[in-house]
Amino acid sequence: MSLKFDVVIIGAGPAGLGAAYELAKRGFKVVVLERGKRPGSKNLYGGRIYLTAISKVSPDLCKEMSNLGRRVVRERIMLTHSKTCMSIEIETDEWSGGIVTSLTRFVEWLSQKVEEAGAYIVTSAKVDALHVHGNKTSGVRCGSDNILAEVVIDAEGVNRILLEKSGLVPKLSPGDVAIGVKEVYRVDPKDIEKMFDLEENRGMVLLALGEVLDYFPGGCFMYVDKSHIHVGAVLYLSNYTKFRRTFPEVLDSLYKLPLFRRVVKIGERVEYGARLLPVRPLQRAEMDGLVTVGDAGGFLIHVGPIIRGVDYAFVSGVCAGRAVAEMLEKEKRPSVMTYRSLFSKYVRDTPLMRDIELFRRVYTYYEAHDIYSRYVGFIVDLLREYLEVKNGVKSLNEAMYLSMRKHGLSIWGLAMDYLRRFRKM
Amino acid sequence: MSFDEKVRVNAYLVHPTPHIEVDTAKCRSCRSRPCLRLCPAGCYREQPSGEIAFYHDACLECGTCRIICPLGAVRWSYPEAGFGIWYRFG
Repeated sequence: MSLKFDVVIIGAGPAGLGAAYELAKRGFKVVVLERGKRPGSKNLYGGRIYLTAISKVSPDLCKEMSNLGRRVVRERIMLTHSKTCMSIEIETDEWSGGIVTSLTRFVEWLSQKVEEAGAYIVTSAKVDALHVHGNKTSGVRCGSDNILAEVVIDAEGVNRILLEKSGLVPKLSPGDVAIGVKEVYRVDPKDIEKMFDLEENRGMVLLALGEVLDYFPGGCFMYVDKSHIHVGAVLYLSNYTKFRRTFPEVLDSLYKLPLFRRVVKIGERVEYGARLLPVRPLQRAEMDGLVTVGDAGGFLIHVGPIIRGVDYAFVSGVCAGRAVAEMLEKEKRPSVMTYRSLFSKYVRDTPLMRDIELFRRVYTYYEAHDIYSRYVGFIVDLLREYLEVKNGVKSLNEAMYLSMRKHGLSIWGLAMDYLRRFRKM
Repeated sequence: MSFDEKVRVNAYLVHPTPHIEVDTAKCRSCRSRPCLRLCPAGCYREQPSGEIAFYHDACLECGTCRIICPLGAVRWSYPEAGFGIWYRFG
């Protein structure tokens, strides 16, 4: 069977739905094809959605969005080394740290908005191929159906099977991605508020690096939501052959840390999941009639502890939707040049492109092994040498000297490293 | 906790035919076998005979095996429409 739409969107995730919402609102005939049983059933992330960029592009939706989870008011970074943990914490009620929520809940809510706006969302619909002829995409094949469209918006996610199949992007290599593995624990909201000393509707984020992940690039996390706590680990795959443990083993040892242990003790484990996430800027594929958004378009930004996946997926989708709408209103024939200039126009109000540029410049720093091993060890040992009373009391200088020597660092070396690597950040 | 215990809490709609094909003949000559450790669901198992066996039912559809297999023995695709892992929290 052959069907014809103005726009066909692959994937009902935050990016695809963001685009669908904008196009449907403007009266275009839009269909979203989702391979899962329901929107959100194939979506997984860490646990936090930043809202600042979303509030710029969609203030109306953002207001409702912010009620979907706990607002982040506290963040803690934990450096772990030789059975010692050093924490740095920041807490303020005036914090634009976004919300902690369940991605499934978020996507289900968004899909309702999209359907209200007038788009069709077809679930249990797996796209098998893009129809690409030369430099133009004219639709998709989905089972025995051919679905034709003026524009195809590819929001298939980080595993870009369709784009790879069409030869538009190279296959991902281990260095391009990290694997994120997580568990969800259900905990009574009252217990959460007591355990973490949080007010109602306030949440927190916790990140741990160093020994918890065998000093590999990446780290472990905890996101505290309304009645769920998301815990897990992110491991860069660049050096995967040297990683000797399995993920159940990683999580078991993570649960030996005090706070994590308590969550596991009082919570009920309800889900275990995994996904890949890009840690290098991915090449973007575009052509006449084909637009890519979300992870498929390389719109995930991973800068150290800050991962902006869902918000930039949504923002890229919204801006792509607006650009495609304006292009179809103006011109009969969709062209990639027009699309690009329109997309830049809509994205200009957000920090998205600037952040992608930063990501391009700095991503190599976060792949460097020594940040997670020597640097973490040095900082933890410095404080330990300084605070721990064994015999005499040490001055801060002495403690610094001892810890530097232990980790093979020097003032000169640190200064050079700063100039070489971190200055550009 | 074992792989099996980890995935036990998940919801799946398992399709009878595997969505991933593994050319286990290639695995015989593989020394590093990273799939055994890095597949988060433990879909790859070493048999007592030393062969690799692949079970698709616990797959989380993350795509890790596709990327790390050093011999290109993994022919990867998503499960049939509507099947596979069903995340309820994500």
